[in-house]
Amino acid sequence: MEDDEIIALYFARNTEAVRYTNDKYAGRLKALAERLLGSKEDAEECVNDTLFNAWNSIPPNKPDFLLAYLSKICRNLALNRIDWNTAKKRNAVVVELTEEMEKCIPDSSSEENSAEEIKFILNTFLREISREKRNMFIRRYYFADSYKELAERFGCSESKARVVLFRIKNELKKFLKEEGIDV
Amino acid sequence: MTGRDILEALNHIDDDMIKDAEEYIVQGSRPGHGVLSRIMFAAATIIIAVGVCLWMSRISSEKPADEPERIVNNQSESPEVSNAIQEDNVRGSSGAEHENEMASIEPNEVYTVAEHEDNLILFNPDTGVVELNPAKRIEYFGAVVSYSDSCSVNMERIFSEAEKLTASTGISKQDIYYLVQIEISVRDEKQGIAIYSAADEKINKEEYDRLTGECRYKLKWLPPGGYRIPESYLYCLVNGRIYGTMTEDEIRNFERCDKYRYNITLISYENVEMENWEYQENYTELELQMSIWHSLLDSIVDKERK
Repeated sequence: MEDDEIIALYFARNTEAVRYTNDKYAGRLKALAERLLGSKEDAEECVNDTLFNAWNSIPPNKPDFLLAYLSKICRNLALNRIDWNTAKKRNAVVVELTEEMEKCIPDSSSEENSAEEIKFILNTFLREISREKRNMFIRRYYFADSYKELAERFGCSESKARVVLFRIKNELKKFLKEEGIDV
Repeated sequence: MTGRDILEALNHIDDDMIKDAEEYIVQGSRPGHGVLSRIMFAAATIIIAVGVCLWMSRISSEKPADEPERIVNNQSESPEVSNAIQEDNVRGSSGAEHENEMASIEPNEVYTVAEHEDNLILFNPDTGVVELNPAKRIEYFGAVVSYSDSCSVNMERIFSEAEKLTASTGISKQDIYYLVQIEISVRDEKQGIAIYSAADEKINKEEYDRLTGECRYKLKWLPPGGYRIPESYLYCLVNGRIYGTMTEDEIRNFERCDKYRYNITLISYENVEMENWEYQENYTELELQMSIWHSLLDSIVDKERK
């Protein structure tokens, strides 16, 4: 079923919308959540919460791209759950991704930047770099793909993927500085 | 702003970019097929390495000593050599600038590495010692070679040690990256420097083209005077490959030896930043490796000077 048909079901408050969403996207959402959370059980719970959130938020929201919309909810829930779990132990994947990022974007909390500002700057940066670079960056840091998965998707070696991402992070750092963001 | 802030901020990027990234797959690549391509790559490199080995042993047994130029000029003596030095295969034979560039190139090294999951494995062919060091995996932009030893290697032993490695670690041969190329450079008074790859185009035309291109590229990259690196140092390892060059003296020694031998020394360097390295969008995989190779050398030299 096409996304707009599923969304129409949401707007009609037809619970079949959730079933179709689950059939179409649960696998990918679960994979995303599992990468971040490192737990199948937590990931399943996260996907269920995502579907529940989608049901509650569509309408009024009407996403142009359903998967992007769902993945944002899922990712947000996963990150929140990680914070909740952090009291017990550190999450390996997020720690890894954060550490990678902080090699180029070190912790510098002297100045708070608004979410809107960061959103605008990130979007601007990602639109300025090449499509392949942008997608590799998003696959790694949004979808939390492993380097092996990146290599397969982008038809390159894992090493090249590391190199490309390293360069993008440096470019991002430079871009953030130019935009006056304290990094 | 912290790295974590950025990770969280990514939740606010535009939906169309997320959608594009979700659907984006480079043409020709298919997620899930990496293992197959890796196996194919390993198989191709093994074939080439075997070719190199056979070719070198043939040269060793057929040629008299002290006539390095015959590698270039005497095409009737060895069919393999003849193939390699046919006009199309001889690179950089046009002039003095290449002579200058080649004049100070140091002898290089041969050894074998394996990559298994996230581990880098180096093994010492003399002792059979396997170094498994997951924490010290070589990174392009943080070069680490955590192993220090000196040994002699020859191609036959590389293969025999690879067998040992397979037996002792359980790593499949497909996961072992063999040396894929040995460049031979010969100083010839009439032709200048001739460089050709040991790989025969009959083995794999595509690979052959890449290798000869690599030779050309390497010449292009070497600055006059070459790199001043202490001779005992490991030059570089990129993606499990060692790039080697033989000097005229090496050729002479090679001619005299029954077996192909080089001394190698691996050193430990950590966190070598490649400050001057610039990634170019249009790099081929090979050019990427070569550019990193050279930048890494610069970085090591800089670090040594400091």
